[in-house]
Amino acid sequence: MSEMYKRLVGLLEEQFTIPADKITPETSLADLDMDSLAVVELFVRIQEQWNIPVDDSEADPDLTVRDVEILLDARGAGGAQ
Amino acid sequence: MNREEIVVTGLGLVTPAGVGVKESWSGVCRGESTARRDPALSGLPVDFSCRVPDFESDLPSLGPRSWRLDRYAQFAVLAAAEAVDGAGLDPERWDGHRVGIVLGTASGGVGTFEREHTRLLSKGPALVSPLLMPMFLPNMAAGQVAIDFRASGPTLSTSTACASGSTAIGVARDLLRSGTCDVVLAGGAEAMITPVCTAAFAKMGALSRRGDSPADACRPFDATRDGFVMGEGAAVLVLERQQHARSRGATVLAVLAGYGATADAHHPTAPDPKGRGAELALRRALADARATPEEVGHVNAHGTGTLLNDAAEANALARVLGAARPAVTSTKAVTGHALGAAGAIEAAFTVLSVQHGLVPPTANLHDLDPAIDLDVVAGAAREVAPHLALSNSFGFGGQNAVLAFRPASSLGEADRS
Repeated sequence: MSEMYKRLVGLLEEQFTIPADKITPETSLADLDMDSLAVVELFVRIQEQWNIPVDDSEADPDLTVRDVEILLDARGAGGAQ
Repeated sequence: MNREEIVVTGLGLVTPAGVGVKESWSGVCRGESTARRDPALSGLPVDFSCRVPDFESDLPSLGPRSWRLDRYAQFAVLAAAEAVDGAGLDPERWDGHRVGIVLGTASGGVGTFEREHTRLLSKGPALVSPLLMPMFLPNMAAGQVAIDFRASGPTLSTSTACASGSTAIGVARDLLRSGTCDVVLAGGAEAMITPVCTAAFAKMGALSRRGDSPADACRPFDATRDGFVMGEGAAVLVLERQQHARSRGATVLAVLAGYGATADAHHPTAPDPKGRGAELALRRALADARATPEEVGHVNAHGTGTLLNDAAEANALARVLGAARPAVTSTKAVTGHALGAAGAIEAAFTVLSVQHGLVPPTANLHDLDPAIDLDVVAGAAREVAPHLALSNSFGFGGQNAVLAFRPASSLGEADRS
């Protein structure tokens, strides 16, 4: 598990009250009952808390948790706090 | 003209006295104020309030989406779930087209609005939540309850400031009388204890300044009263026509016998000093209930504990009900003033009063204002005979709403249940 993945799970658990045991790398955000507005909210939280720029146009409930992890890593922000 | 009675078959309560009907009712009957210092108001001229106690955000009726509901909508969903369950209704099986929702609120999700406004100023527009609108809009508690309970009849929100919850119950009555709905979930929800709203109420002189002793701060009808204390919460009543309740074997908790609504047409915030708008609302509620003043055994007063409200309300009550001298109480001394939810919360307490023959005390009343000629229950809860009971609510804007409830026993043996 990458550090980014763990942080994502933590964020989903704390801010979105999703039980950690429901989350796997292959789980889509839609499977976690997140609609498009909820995914934009997730991106807002990521930008606010980790200072990683994410584009709202990429907010898609069909993204898996791993997809989001890859997206964030691609921003070269794996170590950003 | 025959008119079918509208009956109450379910109650849900979320108040500073407790989450749930049982907890809230026993709290107000004990007569202990719930006011205490509030860390969220730290540094403000008034830094105390009556808060709903902590509740689990993953309660079954809230589920894992509580983060996307403003606090006021969370209260509404919790109260609605308790009311529907208590009424023995199953939303999986009811005809949702015949079910209406009417919920009052003064300010909707203003707490979310304030938080997001702060983010806009400190972090910029990119970080404003995309959920601000669905959390903030004042219709969203009713909308959310409709979604949760598959209620696809009329879904309405009433906003008459501190009378909003009572107005909602009056509107619900009309939806039932007209035959538009078979069941209506009616009530109110409010979560307005925010820094901006508290500062604003303090600035206009409406709040008690007894910060050194919050639990003694709200003193309705007392000679030393100096304002209200901010409260919050929700209440939902399940209302049906009597025949509908009977046909499904529901237990009737009380009869919604009357409703009277008026406007002072006097001033944006000050009540008519003689309470003329309130008086007319009282008279209309009695006329609607086909009742005489002598039948009134109990009044759950608006009783905010402000100088102006209590004086004007006492004037109106004395003029309309003077000789009957019903047992008057203000439960706001325990719960604080839940603003747009107050009318619904107090309607629920009034239902419980007629159901149990018990009037909760007005906490903190030690020295009745000599200008107030009312029998105000103080000290301990008082047992009363089965009676007609009134619940008063008066809002900024001069908007007045009075509800009248009778015990289920008034329907006669054959008509009950």
